[in-house]
Amino acid sequence: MAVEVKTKETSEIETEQLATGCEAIAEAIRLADVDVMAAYPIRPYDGVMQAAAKLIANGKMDVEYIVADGEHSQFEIVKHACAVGARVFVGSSGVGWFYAFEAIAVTAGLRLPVVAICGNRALDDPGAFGTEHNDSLAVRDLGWLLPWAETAQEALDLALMAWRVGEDKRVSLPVAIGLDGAFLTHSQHIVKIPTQQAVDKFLPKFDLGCPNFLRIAAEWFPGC
Amino acid sequence: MAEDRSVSIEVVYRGIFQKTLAQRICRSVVLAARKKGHTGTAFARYGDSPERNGVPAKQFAVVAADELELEASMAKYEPSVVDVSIAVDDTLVKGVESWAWYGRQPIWKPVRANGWLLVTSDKKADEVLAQTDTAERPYTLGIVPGGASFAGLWVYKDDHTDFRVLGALAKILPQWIALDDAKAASLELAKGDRSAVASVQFGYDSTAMRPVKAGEGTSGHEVLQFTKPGWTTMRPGIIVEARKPGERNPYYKKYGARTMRPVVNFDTCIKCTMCWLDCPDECFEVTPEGHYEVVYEACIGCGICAQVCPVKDCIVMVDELKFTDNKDKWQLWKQDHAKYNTWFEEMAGVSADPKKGAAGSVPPNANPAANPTTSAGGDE
Repeated sequence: MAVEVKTKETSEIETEQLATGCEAIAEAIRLADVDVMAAYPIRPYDGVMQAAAKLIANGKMDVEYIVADGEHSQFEIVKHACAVGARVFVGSSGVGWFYAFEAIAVTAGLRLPVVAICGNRALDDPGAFGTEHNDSLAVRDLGWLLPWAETAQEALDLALMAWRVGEDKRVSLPVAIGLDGAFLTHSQHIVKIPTQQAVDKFLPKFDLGCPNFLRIAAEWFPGC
Repeated sequence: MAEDRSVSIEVVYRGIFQKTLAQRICRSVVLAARKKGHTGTAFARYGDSPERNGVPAKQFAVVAADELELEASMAKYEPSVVDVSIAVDDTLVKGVESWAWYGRQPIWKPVRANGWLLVTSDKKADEVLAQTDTAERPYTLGIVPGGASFAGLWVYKDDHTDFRVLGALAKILPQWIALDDAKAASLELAKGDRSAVASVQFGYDSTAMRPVKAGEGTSGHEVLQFTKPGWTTMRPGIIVEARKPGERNPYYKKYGARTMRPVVNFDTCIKCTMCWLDCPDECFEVTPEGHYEVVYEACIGCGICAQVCPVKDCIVMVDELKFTDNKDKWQLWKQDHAKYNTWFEEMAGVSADPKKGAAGSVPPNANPAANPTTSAGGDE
């Protein structure tokens, strides 16, 4: 069976950068015109919050950037922002990801298309920085979509796809993009950055409409 | 290694101090090679993080003909064999010991047979080679003019060490990095500053190549190798053996972090205890006369003793490459004051007698911290 592989048109490439997986994700946040992102540092995810903060500082991006007081708040913030119609981004790694579990567990059930990255890190104390996937895999049966990127280019592309797929009304689910800690998050590769026009064509504005959880609530509690 | 399909380069540097410099070199390699249509990746050794002051660390650049080849070479994340190793501080040739494990490795250890070792140095190739471990296989030693650079560290200004190294790489790896591409990449990285181009050309022209045969080098460095216990020999729990009062831990030898070492003029010492008190590594032993003698195996060369010493030229920081061992020098002073003072003057470049003034000039590389931008050309 012939598979048609569609590659990017040259006209759809803005620039080519040498970027880490984290920096590529930050570029995706910029291109997707994210409304709210919540940050709390933990290696290796923190590369994204640094790169995104730099884009904001350089005047390249306009986003509500909330530095939370922990991962739990981080994921609560985006969950609630998403529930009122904001396009959101969040992320964490390893044990930080687990600290946010109360919020993570219900995000999929509420059918909120939160896009997160999980900079995959060993669940070990103290300070194991090794890469393993148990942090991402813990949400496997909770309804999160779990793609993994292999290169920094894939990280950027996957992030853009995550909003498009997750926010599609037929899906309406959160997406956690797995990035291997260090090997992908902190190594630099050649990344083709698409133009804003190409991204706008690919990724429609987020329209929450009547959120599924409100519809469900209305069915369960008629008249409320 | 498919030499015609991919090339691996490592930069060995002083942890934290030269992190940005190493990063810039690796980035410039990939960006210059990109101009020829190659692809590549630049990354740090994860095990080096969080880096400790001055402790040797590594970053890498891998360039390949295409994505598939790059992926194949990325299977080994820390390349065990490299085509070129770049040491951005010449004292690193005395050996590389990471903070994360014990054991000193020769600087050329990952360099393939007939590969290259580039060292940024103000010294001649033979002087550098005299402090490098005996070669097991032939390689070419390239001396890129310029001392240990702090470029990119906090407020230290750029001195184009990265561009000089890129020029040297264009010379030895023309099939991967064309000189014109290196110049074009440097111009972009320097945001249009034309002097970057001159620095690339300077590195290309002025890097002195010295072929090294197997067997050349020194066997004088201490062999620091540690065997890891297998699971059958492991004891239950973690047992940290106590040291007797006054006894030093024989495994605590982090002198590989040292670029300079203190030498002491015992004749002018006023026994004020400042060096002993302020040394963060408790390197000073009290001699029977009440002097303070440096235990060089424990000293990391931070220079705090020389800073707190209230007597002029009593503790002087000296380029580590002038020394071939960690031997105790107080014994020499004890036996023969005059002989010790001659040695002190030769090493420190100052008079042992404070009334006489300077005995000689301070060597140009004596204090890279005080003068991070060296006099090497190409930076006008």
